[in-house]
Amino acid sequence: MNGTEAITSREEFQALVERHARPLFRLAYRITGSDTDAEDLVQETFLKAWRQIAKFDGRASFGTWLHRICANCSLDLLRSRRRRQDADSGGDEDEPMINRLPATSPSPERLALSDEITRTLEPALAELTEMERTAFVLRHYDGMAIEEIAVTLGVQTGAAKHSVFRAVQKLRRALEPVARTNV
Amino acid sequence: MNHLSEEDLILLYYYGESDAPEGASEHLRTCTECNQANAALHASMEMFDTLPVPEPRPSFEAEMWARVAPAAVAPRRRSRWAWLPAFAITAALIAAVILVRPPSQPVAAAPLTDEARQRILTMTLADHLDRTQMLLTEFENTADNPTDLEPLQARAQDLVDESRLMRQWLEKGTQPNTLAVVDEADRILTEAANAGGHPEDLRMLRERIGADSLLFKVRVVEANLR
Repeated sequence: MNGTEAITSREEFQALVERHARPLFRLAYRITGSDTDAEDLVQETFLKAWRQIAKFDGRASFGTWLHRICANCSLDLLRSRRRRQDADSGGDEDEPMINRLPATSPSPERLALSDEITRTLEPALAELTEMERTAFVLRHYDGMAIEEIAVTLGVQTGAAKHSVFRAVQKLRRALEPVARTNV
Repeated sequence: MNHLSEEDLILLYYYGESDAPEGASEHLRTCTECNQANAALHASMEMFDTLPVPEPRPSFEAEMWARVAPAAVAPRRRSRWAWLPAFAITAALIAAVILVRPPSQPVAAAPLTDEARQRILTMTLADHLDRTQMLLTEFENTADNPTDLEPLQARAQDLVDESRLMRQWLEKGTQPNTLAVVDEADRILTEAANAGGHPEDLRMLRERIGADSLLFKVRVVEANLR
């Protein structure tokens, strides 16, 4: 199977799960910032993909199709979490996303991964809106074209473009002190 | 020409999204200020690339398949009511998956007790047997008309697919009689799903349903489960 993989059996689906699970985990992690959420989102992606397998028309690769599903599941999760927290706190549209993420203690692995850029960039990523973060991750780390991001997230091309630009702009501003000390 | 905007540098020159306006490339080559801005942008973008992502454990793919596999039954012909069993099974699976997560992983919602999980699976099985019973009754009473037979066969195939999950659960448990009835119903449902449209095939199928008292057995097991 390559490119436009045809799924005709459970065994083929298993091979695809094994091939795509890890890249999907990375995508979901980058959007949510949580490894627990990312694992659940990978599972949700595959279950949705299996249920909607008849809708897969083969125009994009199976991997691209899965990434679209995963990005939408991740965005939905962030939005539903915000709605829940807004309802609990009386609602604050301008509240940064960092306050809406689950309060999890950093694992030893996460602590080991920490460095100056990570410490600066992770909170900055969490300050982005859900749309900015998802669009940025799809463009920067997944290499998805703006038009494809717009289709994936169901927004106009201009809105997708603006979200990516705003995300990069905000992240650059956050990194300015780090960049200055490293010049 | 005016200096290039930050948006131009990001979208046009870094991500290469679309054609740059006329003269922009030439300007970028000759303008010191834009060149510096472009170099600074690339330096920032390189920092983004260093942001680490934790690598899942080596067994991640196998574990993910174990979480997904129960729902991935063979692609099948869809009947009008096919969403009904899928809904019930998905609900049971979500509950079951929450419980089989490794203990080290935090679970957002309060975990179900083992008793609650067993209850969910038991009710799912009872529902499955209820629909099996209804379908077998319809097979017994349907006219010898292939047009009538086709939707029944699609539903029979749905139930066969679904019963694989039931059997996986029953094989781990202590209900051999229930497992035997599910197996027996499965064999008949498989025959029903694949029966030809010939009236003789249908007659033989009805005879088998009646001869084995299958409907009665299914009814008893279902009543016990509820």
